Amino acid sequence: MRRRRVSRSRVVALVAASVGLTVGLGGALVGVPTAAGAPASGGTSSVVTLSKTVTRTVEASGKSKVVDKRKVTLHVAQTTGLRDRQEVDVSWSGARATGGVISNENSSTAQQEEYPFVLLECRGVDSTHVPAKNQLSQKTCWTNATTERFQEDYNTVGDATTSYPPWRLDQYASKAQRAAVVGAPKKRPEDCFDPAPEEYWVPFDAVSGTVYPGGPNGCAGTAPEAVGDNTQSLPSNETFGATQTNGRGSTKFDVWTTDTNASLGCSSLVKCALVAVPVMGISCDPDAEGLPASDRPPSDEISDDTKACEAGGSYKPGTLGDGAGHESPTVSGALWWAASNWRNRITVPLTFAQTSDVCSVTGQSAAVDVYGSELMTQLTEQWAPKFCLSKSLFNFKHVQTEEPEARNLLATGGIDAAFTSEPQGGGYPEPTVNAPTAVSGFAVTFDVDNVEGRPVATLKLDPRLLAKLMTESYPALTDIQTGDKALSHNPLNITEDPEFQALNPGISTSSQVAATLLSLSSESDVMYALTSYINADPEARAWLNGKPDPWGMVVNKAYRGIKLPLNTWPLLDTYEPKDIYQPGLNDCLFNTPVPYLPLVAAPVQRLSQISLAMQFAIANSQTVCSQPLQGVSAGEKLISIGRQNPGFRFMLGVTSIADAQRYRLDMASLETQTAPTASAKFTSSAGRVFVSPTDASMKAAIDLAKPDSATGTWPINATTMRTTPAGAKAYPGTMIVYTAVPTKGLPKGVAADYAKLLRYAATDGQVRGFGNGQLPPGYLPMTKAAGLGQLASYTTRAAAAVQAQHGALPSLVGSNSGGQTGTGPGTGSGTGSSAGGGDGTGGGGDTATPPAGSDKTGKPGKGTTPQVAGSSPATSPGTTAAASSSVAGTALPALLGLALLSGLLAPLIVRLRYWRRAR
Amino acid sequence: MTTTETSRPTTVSGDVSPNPAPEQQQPRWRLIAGRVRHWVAPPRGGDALPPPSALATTVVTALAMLSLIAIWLLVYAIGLSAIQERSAQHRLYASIRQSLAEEVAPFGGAIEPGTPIAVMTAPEAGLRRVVVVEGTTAGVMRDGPGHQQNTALPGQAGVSVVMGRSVTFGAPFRHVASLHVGDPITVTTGQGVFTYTVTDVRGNGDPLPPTLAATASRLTLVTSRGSGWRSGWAPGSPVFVDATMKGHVQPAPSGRPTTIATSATEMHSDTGGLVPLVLWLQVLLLVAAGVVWANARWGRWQAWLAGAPLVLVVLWLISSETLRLLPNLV
Repeated sequence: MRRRRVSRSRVVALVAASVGLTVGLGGALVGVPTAAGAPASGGTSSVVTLSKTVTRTVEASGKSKVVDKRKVTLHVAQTTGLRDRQEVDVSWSGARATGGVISNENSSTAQQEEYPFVLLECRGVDSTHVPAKNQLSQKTCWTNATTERFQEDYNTVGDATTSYPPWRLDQYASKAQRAAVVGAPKKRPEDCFDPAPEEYWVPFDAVSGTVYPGGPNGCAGTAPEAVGDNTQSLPSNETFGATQTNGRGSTKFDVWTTDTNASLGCSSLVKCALVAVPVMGISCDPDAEGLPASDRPPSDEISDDTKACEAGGSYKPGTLGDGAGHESPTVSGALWWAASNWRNRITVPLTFAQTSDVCSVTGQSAAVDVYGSELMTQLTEQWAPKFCLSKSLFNFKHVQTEEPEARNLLATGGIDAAFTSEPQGGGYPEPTVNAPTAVSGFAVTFDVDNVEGRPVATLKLDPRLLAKLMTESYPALTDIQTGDKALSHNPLNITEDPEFQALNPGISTSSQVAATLLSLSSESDVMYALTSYINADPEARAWLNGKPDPWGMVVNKAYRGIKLPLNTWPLLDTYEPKDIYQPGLNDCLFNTPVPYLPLVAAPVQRLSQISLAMQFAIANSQTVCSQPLQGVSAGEKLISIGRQNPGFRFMLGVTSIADAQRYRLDMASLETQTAPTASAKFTSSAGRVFVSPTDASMKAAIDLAKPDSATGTWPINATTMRTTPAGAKAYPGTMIVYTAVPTKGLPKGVAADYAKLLRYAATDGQVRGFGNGQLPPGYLPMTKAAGLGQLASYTTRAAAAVQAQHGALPSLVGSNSGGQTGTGPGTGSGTGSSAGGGDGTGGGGDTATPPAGSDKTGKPGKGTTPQVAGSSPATSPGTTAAASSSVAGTALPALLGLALLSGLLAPLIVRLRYWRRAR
Repeated sequence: MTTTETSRPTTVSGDVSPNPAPEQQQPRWRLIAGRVRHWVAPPRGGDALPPPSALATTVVTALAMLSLIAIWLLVYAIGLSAIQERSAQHRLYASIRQSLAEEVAPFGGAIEPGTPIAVMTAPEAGLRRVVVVEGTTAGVMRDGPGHQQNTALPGQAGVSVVMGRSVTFGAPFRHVASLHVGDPITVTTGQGVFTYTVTDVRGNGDPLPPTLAATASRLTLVTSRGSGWRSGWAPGSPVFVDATMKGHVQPAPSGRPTTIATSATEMHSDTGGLVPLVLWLQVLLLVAAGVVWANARWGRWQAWLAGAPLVLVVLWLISSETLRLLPNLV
């Protein structure tokens, strides 16, 4: 009892805190001193657009003169309800064009860019009206490399230009900040060698209060998350964005919560902001009047120092940098923290969604689990906190598993509910309802840079190309192309395939990753849907059966004639290119040779792993041999290729649409239909329809779904989609996720909880938004307004059946007109008889009578039935003529008669003998 | 019981004492027993009959048994089955009371037969908080009045048909036919409390009520009645009582069955009970064999003590299944 009270007060505290946070955010948004504009579309919108006039000035004879002035507008696509590792679209205009562009804008090398548009995630509120410890400053902004927050200058003799580096001439810096050594720890750690004559330290203040001073090579300590540039790890999120010559630029900013970066510590309770620093260059004040003599450049070098400080860029705007330190320091991104640049910042407060972690804090009763579909992940992340914080709901947890596994667990009674997209083959032992819960699907996402090194925005794929990737039919390596006779006439990878080139011109890579589609190794309904889509295409099917494509490419013989669809994709290629399985080339494969192409494919267990790989273009092909000690085979293992360099990326992966939306992955358009006139050996996409996942295209796919009373689901037939005219606009990856729950045998409390879940899914859960309890992007709202009322109403009915636990299964076909009135059962589709299975009343030889009122002969026949029909208007009232029953009228009298008769007859017989004898 | 009875004649003839003791010395029950025995099988004396032939014994025993079974079934049908119905109603009332309180009483979709769906009160027909179950087969209606599955639920637009028995199993609808126009019927479902007013009582040949408007609700109670000597125990013809609802109809969730089995239509029996009937008869055989065995090994009274409850229980179940073979409105 006591415990419960504590937990309740915790809930109240949490709710209060979140309300406070929201209100606080509103206040902060209005009160941002640096923001010149207001949010474009009101406080409720998550989109924020801010404008600010930024300047660079020079101090001449005591007067500040503006030398560069620009009005910068910053647009952030989402600022509320953010989740860990989410990508947010950020764009800007009016900024100074960047020179010396480094392709990987998240690397520490990118700080060498000139006039970059620096984006940082910083903790705190950008206001002087809050306590100092809650204030946002350079010290609370995250950078991955220590070089991004430390500058030193050796005042080299003979190179006078560097003796007073630009940051020491910053007119907006305070007196203290213009000293020779700024921000260094009081006691210099031993690792830090001797100090340079001039140093500027920007320590990092962790949320815990720990200060990480950094310093040269991080000698004085860095946050554990600051791992530097490493191709095996995920990239950092500080972004040195490149502004194009027209002043515009855009990027995706990776937002972190405390889950990814505990030192930064952003969460739903710790305020953070996205800070944009449009680097304009140092506003110089070489005279340094009012400063001590030691902080004023000596007269013999002042002109050189001034020149270096007031310089522009050494690169032309829009050119690429070499990353070798040839930039002009005063305008480089390395000085983002300098007061001249920092004062130009635009701060956009971010709020983070309450994560499901909150549920473990509320201390409510044990979570009710739903196992299954990863397509639901983004949705349940938003639903779960709502559920556990709402008194009328319950603590609910989505355990992500493969759908077939979840179904098997449900069938064996291991779990009580499953998110699934396919029915269980052979059914469940208990009557189980498949209640539509979300409409989403799979996407083929891509990280592709064109021959110019620019990201490609759209990609078109047809089923045959997917089949080629999945069947390991591209040799990937020239050694395999020459060695494996079966694949020798096939293009090396997809970018060399004329079919791909016809659809997507201007893309070329030699990466072996371009020979595969990163997909799932586990059993999954997504794989089933994907292979159904491939199987329904006559061209792809014919190719899989062994017919070469018009350009002569053939299927890998290991996959020839493969039966589709499949739950799990097999890796069948067996070829080992011995030429590269050599010591020094690949020791792992020399020591333990295994077929190569399956290593290239390297499918993974979870869709979320693919999303992560796609978000950062981490090639998963396990073909790199890693040895703990060079040349020693002990402990060696094959590892993935790792992150691809921006500008040279090519990766394709299967993810969920919702993941793709959350992480801003680019989704390929898939071919739906081919015009009969389209040439087989095509050179462009003419005559072929490609559809990307949008609300409209997913809706078009759902429109093709037909209720199937045998399975209690709405299957979307891939062949129908390919052959009916309406299918041309339908996205082939659309999938319905059902919640499979038994309607018999569940404990009452559990059943009531699942019924609540279904009711929520049918109503409040279908409201779009980033807030907890809402429907994130990537899911089609299952509402009447969106034309999916049929699914929602079925889910409502399913909720009743689940709650009742009488073993009833609602009929799939529900009239939206409110029951059977007016329509008359005669118009019903007649699927009702399959419902309510297992009733004990239907005797063996019973025949089903036709629905009441459908009697076209006009014979009233079944007594009340014409009335029962709910007044079929065609039937005029006649007279009552119901079946009389002679059995009913005689049964009991007959019994009585029998009793009397036999009761009298028995003694009579005896008496008869007695009398006969007596006579 | 059957076997016990058949074994009796041998015992009877064996036990018969050639010289009955003086009447006054015997306890009264033995006296009566002796007289009955004497009447059925007179004592063998000098001019006594030879022992009855096996055929005669069998015929007499069979007839006696038949008579006993018929009487038992009559008693069960008219009297004892009411106990069963009362018990079921008690359980169902508790169940629906709870589901109404929890707002989980079903009011749409396919409802499992036997599920309580409504509580009905019609004081003029002697109905007081009678629980209506879903389904109208004779088997289901042993528990109380049944709601015809392919009709609307009470309170929803359309015609809602509720059938009830008029003789057996407590005869909940015994007095329904005596309702008068204007009498109220109150029905409580998961959607609320609805009041109906009786508009007509009709039998075969009477005009049907007018076509119902799309947004109106009608309740039709169906039972059976007999006239003259049949009244009260041999109802051969169905009777319908129509009542229309006051107030607004409730929405009807779809998914209701559109067809029902023949056995669920009025005046039809439910052959679904045949299989359990056969099984229970087999159990009865086993029990009887057991009692005979016990009679031989333990003694007569011990056998009775152990066997009688068992026999009664099995007999009860057999009777219950047998009555499913009667039309559902009886």
